[in-house]
Amino acid sequence: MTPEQQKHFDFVLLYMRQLNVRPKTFSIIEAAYFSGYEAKSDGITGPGQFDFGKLGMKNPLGVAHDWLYFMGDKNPLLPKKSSWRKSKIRVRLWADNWFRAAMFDFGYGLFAGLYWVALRLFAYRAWMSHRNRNHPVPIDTLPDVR
Amino acid sequence: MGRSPGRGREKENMRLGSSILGGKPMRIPGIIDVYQVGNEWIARSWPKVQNQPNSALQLLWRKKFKDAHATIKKFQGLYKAAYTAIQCPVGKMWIDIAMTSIMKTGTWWTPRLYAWHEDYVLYFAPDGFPGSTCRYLLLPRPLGGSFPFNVFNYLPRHGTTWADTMKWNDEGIICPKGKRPKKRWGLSFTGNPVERWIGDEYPYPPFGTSTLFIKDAPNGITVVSLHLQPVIEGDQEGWALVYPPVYVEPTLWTGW
Repeated sequence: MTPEQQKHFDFVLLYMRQLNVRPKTFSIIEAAYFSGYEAKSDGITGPGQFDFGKLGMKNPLGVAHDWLYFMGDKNPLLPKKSSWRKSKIRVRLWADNWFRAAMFDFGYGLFAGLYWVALRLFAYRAWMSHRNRNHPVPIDTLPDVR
Repeated sequence: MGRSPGRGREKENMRLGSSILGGKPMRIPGIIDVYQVGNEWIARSWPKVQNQPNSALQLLWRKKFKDAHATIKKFQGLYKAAYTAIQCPVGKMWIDIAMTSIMKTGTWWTPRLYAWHEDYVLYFAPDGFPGSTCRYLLLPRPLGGSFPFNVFNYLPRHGTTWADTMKWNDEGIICPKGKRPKKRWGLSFTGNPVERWIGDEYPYPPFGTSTLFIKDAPNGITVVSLHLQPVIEGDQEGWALVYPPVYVEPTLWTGW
């Protein structure tokens, strides 16, 4: 983690505390940043980074959602119930649902449904890309995304 | 009954006296034996700082104790298994050690200690890992996760048993006033920490988030975090076992 990434991490933690987000939103984003995945993610792909683009940052929701896809069913933060862990289809559904709920926490509630539908329709390819590359692997072995 | 004397004006409106005859008792927390005789308040002693029962200090202590107990109830997975497997001194259980550690460190106990990983793996690559000549690599499992604490500050130790890594020191007997004497135990390391390998391709130290290259660890390592300085001011010099020892043996690396 570079000093700049550390600054982003600190800022995101502060921002989430100010917003008083849900614990699940907080813990996933915290874990994604702590593991250093910000450098490996492109944030929210396509439409933009909402307000974070102006700050020169990737959107934390995009980073965390990418991290959830990267980790797949190996994620220790998945629900304890085994039915959510055994099925890869349900793991992806859980990740997309998490993103939708987190969008409400971050104040993008108006777009939450739209983005959720977009993820359900178009993110399967990204999910399979991670699975075909046998992810998760150590994050330091991945190339950086600028 | 007339108006109760205010805390700040107690001495002005009150006088000391021994007689309790003819007086009308009044209950004031923290003050004993206050009586009203005519228009005058008589106390048999000046108000003193309340120390029990239910003093602020006692209530704070009970709250900390309950919080620590609640934290122990939340232990889970590898963390709990490692804590229950520690070797304890005579007359102590793992829960006593955990309680002592939590009471000393308090704020360090966060869910991340057991939420971000499930196990560790120490990979051994005879020819080195891609892009490096280092042969040992410690990773949290599942791969891609994070270490629960900063392993660069609290480096793993050589060895894969309790005796290789840690020991209990007999620090004599403490005799608290009014209580029976009890033995004081200190916890310290016995072995040496592993040596980090810093490669050329990492311009920034990734400060212990997801990988730790190790120079040499043929006999395995122990992941442990023992704080040897108390966090709470005024406490005696002590220890706190924040992360119990988890023993990791080398596994041959066959690719990601």
